[in-house]
Amino acid sequence: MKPNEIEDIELDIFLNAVNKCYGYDFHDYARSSIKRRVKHLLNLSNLNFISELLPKIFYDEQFLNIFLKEMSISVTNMFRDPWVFKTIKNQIIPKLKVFPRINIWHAGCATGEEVYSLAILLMEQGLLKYSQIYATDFNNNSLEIAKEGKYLIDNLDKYIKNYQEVGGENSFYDYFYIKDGYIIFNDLLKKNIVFTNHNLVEDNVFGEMNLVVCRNVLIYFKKNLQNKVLKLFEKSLSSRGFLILGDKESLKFSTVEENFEESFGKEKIYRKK
Amino acid sequence: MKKLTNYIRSKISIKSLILLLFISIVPMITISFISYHLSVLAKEKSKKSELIALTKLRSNLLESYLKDRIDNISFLSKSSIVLKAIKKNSFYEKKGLNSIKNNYLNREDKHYLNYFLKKYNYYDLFFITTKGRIFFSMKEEKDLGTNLIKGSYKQSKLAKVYNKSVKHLMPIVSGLEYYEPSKRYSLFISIPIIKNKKLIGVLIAQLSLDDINKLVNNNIGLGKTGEIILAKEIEDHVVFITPVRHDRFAAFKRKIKIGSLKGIPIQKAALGNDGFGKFVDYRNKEILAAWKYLPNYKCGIVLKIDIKEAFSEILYFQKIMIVIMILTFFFVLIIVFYFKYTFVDPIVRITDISKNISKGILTERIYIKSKDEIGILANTFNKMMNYLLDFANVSRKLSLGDTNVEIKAQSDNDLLANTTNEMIYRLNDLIEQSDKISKGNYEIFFRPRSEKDKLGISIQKMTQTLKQITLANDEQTWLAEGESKINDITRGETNIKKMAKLICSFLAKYLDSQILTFYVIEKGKLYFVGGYAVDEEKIKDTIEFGEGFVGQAALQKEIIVVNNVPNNYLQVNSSIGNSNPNKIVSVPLCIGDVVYGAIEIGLFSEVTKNKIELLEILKENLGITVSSIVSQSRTKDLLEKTQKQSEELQTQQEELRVSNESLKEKTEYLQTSEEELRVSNEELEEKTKVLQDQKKEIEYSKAQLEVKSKDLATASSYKSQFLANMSHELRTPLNSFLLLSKNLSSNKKGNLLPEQIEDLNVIYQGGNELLHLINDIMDLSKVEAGMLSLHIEEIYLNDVSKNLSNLFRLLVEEKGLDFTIEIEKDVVEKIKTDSQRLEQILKNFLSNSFKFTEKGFVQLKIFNVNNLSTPFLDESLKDRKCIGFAVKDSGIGIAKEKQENIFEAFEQQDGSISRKYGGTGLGLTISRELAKILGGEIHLSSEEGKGTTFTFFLDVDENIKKNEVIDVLVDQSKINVEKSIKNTKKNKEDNPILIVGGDEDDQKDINQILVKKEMSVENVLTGAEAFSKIVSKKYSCVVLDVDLSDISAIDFVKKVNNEKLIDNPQFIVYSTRELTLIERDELDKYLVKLVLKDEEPLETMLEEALTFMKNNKLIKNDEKIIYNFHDEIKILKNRKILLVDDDMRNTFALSKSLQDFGIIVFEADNGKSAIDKLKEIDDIELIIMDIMMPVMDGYEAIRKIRKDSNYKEVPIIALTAKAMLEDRKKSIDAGATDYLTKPVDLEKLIAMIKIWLFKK
Repeated sequence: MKPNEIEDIELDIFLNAVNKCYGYDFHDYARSSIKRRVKHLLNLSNLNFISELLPKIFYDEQFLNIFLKEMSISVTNMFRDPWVFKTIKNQIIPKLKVFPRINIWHAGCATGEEVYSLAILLMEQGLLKYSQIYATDFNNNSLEIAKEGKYLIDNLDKYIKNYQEVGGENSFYDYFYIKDGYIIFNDLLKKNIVFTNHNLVEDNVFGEMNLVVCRNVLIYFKKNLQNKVLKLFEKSLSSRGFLILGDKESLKFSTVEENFEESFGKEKIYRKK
Repeated sequence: MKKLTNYIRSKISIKSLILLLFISIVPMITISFISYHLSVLAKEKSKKSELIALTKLRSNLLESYLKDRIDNISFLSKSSIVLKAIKKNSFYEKKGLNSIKNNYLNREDKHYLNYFLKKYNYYDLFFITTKGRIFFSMKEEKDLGTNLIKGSYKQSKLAKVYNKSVKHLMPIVSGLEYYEPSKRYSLFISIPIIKNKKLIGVLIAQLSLDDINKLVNNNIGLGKTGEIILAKEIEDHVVFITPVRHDRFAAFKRKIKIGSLKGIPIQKAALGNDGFGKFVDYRNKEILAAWKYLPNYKCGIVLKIDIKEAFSEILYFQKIMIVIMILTFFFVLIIVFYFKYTFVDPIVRITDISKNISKGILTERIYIKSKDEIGILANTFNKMMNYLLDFANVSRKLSLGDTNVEIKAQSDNDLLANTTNEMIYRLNDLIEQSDKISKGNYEIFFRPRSEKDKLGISIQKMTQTLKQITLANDEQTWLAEGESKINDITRGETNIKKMAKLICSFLAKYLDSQILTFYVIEKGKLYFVGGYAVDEEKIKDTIEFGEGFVGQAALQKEIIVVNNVPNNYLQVNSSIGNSNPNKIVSVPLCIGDVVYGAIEIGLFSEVTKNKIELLEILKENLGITVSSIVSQSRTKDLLEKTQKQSEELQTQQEELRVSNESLKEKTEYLQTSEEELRVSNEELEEKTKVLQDQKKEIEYSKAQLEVKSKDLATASSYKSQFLANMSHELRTPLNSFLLLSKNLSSNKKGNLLPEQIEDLNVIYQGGNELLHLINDIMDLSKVEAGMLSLHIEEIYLNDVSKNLSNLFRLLVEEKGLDFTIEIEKDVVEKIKTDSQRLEQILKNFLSNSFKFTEKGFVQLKIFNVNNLSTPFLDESLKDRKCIGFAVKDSGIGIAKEKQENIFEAFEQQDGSISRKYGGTGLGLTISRELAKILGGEIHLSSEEGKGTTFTFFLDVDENIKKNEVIDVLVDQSKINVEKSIKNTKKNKEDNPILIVGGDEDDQKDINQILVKKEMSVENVLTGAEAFSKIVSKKYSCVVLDVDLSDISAIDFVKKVNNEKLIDNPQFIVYSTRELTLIERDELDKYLVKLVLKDEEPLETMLEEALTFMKNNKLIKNDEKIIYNFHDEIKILKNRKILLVDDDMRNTFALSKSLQDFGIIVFEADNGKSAIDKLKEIDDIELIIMDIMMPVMDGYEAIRKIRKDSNYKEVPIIALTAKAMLEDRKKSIDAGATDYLTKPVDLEKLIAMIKIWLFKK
């Protein structure tokens, strides 16, 4: 047997173990990506073979967190891809005004920068107080950071630049205070956000949403899982609700393509028919 | 007199009394007078500035009050309330309805204005048109409805401000003036209302004086008598406008005639001056006052204070000065008596005693206790007397040979006593010396007083001899002592520098040397480490072996003594000056042959053998000490160095680690973003692949489609063939079958029994029916396949009539019905159409009528169609000439609900009919399709039990090319499309949009937008009207103002919902105001959409809201699951359940479903409010709890509920969107009884509720 094949078997066993022990199912994640992540984990743990991770998964409860952290690639930013947020600000949020109460689901929010970005835009149009944002992720570590709204000051310049590109109406400084080298977002922004654990692979719909944001999450999934998650979003969306995907994702060739219309192609904004 | 002056001059006490009185009282009086005068001036000045400042402050306050009011009213003038009222007025005016009773404001607006009036303390508000008519006021006084330009109040202040603000187009303030209609003094603020740069009206506010009174009558900062007066010049009087402090009823009552001497300040102020001064006020009291004119109020303001109060402090000061002066006088008297007693009296006494001494009397003494100079004088006097007595006594004792006496010297300069005592001492010394020598003490140096002192000289010689003997002994002791002291110093010392210094200073003392240097040898050189009296800057730090005396000594390892030192070799530094010691001793410090250091000693004194001997001992001792210290310190140095190095190493390591970590972090970040990139790349690749696949697939399916379409064409030709075949194959045998049976039944041979003939007739009839059926089916399939061929020709309507009448004559006679055919007079004789098909349709109608009519009549009427009164389904027919063929009967009729279906294939009124009347049920279907092909349509009107009319409208317009045979190929799909278009059109016509309430402009705007979108619109004003419309008619959508005049939008929507209509219309609420959270929640429940008028352009938002309407045209009221079990309801009926969920829509839908089971549902929108609810209602039997909620999530809420003893056992069903076992466990751990995943399956939930309620 080639070493490559053996590695695949090892990976399967390992993923099975994770699933059986903790209920996290990674089988439908993009294979090459998960392989790379697990190998990186091997490197970190100073191990040679994937099967050596098994005892850790079985007997070391802390190890799961390390593994989950490795699995959730939390590359994010305030107003990441400003042109998308610009469209959200100018085209999507005004349309949400017809709802007396606005429900928003930010799935896969990672450390929460984009959730706060969205909250800021809502606040500037006076809608935040009528909105309920559900920000979910399956990684509790990321959620903790998101809940605190505490980010290294090093990236502030970038944040401000993005905010201005989006066309923010106030000063970005109005939304946070600085402490010990971190910027911490104001409680006023956090009031209408619920940060909570939700696993797109396992968990179900929890309410009727007017807007679902899920950016750069689906790319890590296999096709069948992508379809499953998109179906979940469709179920969750109210009639004429919006769905915003990541830069490299689209509804093309998905099973729900028929049920959506494309509102803004470049920004990957769709609307339920 | 002379005697008295003499007496005074001789008495010190009286002199001093006069002097003291003069220097104390006179300046005081002068100073008091000056300072009194100055303070009066200062007080006046400070009061002046104080009063002026206060006046300014008050007038500023009054001015800013006015400015505030102007802003306030301007703000109101821009509000929609005012604009709406003005618009309404112009609307009414256009209609000529200039009534003050008109409804310019709705209830809420009026309520708001009342609130506004009360809050800001306005007396009244006027809305005035551009033509000067007051069309609205809040108080509705006499002036309402009058015209300010022409009417009875055109001279009033109100009219004046109105005119001014219209002229200048800016806010105008009137002064305070009496306003007749209100019977009160008033101040008006007039604001022009401008829209689109055009004046559309004026808003005037009438201010009540209360606020101004309050501002004026605030006496803070005015002391006890201060007072503010606001007054106005009216004719030749100044009238007080507000009540004042000393006269509560002054307002408009107190007047001062201009020119009178009282109240000059207020006169000046009212006439437009500012100023300050001392005057008499209206009460005849002296006052200080400041005054100012207020142009906006057109009146003057005075601030004043009574002089008595203003200068009260100064009067007090005057009194205090007088008291102080009296006290000072008595004080001076006391001092004078004291002075007399303590100074003057003792001096008199001493004078008396001095007189006695001069007479030789030494026994008298003075007794004075005081310690001052007088006391000392008395004391000294007494001492002198004692001294004189002592001296006399000593002289007497010496003369008796007693040397043990002494005279106490009164001072160092007491010559008499000193000489006497020296003499006594000398005598005693001689005695003592002799005594000591006799005891062996030779240390005494005895100096003879003079050459003549023979006794002294001999004693000296004696002692010197004795002394030399004892000296030798002492040298030995010195050496030993020196050594031991050096040992003491060096013991335990580890610091070489410190030790060097100690040793040097010790040796300096011990050897009587003036300068010392101490060197330590290191790496073959001598290093200076310390010294005594050395100028360390001048000294050389290092000395080579052999260099100088020290170097030489170190080289030779021997002590070198130099007696004649070269100049500048070593210098002793002292404050007196520098000088060279003339002797030097250099001592090497060594152990055996190894040198460790050296000491150089410079001295002025002799280098004795003793000293050398001591140094010789030290040479070895100090050598040992230095060597040990040097080696010790070297170890210590090394140790410190290593420690420092290791620390440095550690920090470097730390830094390295930190930078490493950050590097690692960066790499990781890079890796993760790389990961994302890579994944997205892969994704893209995959997509391209999928795209390619799809492309291939599409190509393939295209090819397939082509094949299929070919197949289809063949199949269709097969079908035609089949039909033709069937026609031939079926009909041929059937025909012979019919012919034969007919022939047989005629019984030509006469050999058949009557029963057999009967049977044959049955066979014939059945065959005939079968043939009909086959023909019908063929026709229908031809029509549907679009393969029916028409044979258009000119036909005479009379022929049609004849044919039909012949055809049915037999049947008519058989059934005994009244059958007539009537052709109206003006109908054309001939038309162009396919006669066969036309007759087929009419035959169908007629046979139907005959079939279902037992008695009465059947009638065919041919008539010209009145296009206007005919509701054509196909609108194109309206413009064409049509002929109608109506078949009317008095038969059983068709039920309303069946009329739609009657044209569908194989449909009859009901199943039983076919049994009774026979027929294939295809006739009407075929007729309808034929009618379409011929260019027309069929209408049906019928009433059950009374009869039916079928009418065929045929298009007989000549413009259509019908003179040739056309094969009409009707595309089936086209028909479908047309059908659906017709359906939507119908829908639109059936379900218009209803617009409710709001002002006219809003309605107009909305109407315009909707009509532009080709929607039909209806308008009503009140909720009640709207409600009755909705109940009786279907509407696709209702657009309503949030605040209707008779009901709120929320209540309205609720009311409509409670009506349980089959199709609820969609609601859109529009609002000009911000909605509260509660209102939004309520609206959200009913899926209402919002249009906020001021936020976005009305059209965009309305359009957006309407997209929802298009999408889910009508909301089906409920998709209820039908439960049949009555016992189920029994269990659930009137049970109390608390439903906790933050999603209002969810809550609403769920609670509605639960209520259908008779459950009493309480709602809460988060954990916290759930707990509050539980406190409020204490008999909840079951709780349904959502987990993911804001404020307090489900877990926490369940935990808190379980802590309450009342709810320890109540079943809690947790609703969670999470599917993992872990999460479910979490809710059970928190205290939930059971859990259910979202979205909620109602059946499951009901089952669960039943289980838990039943258990209970």
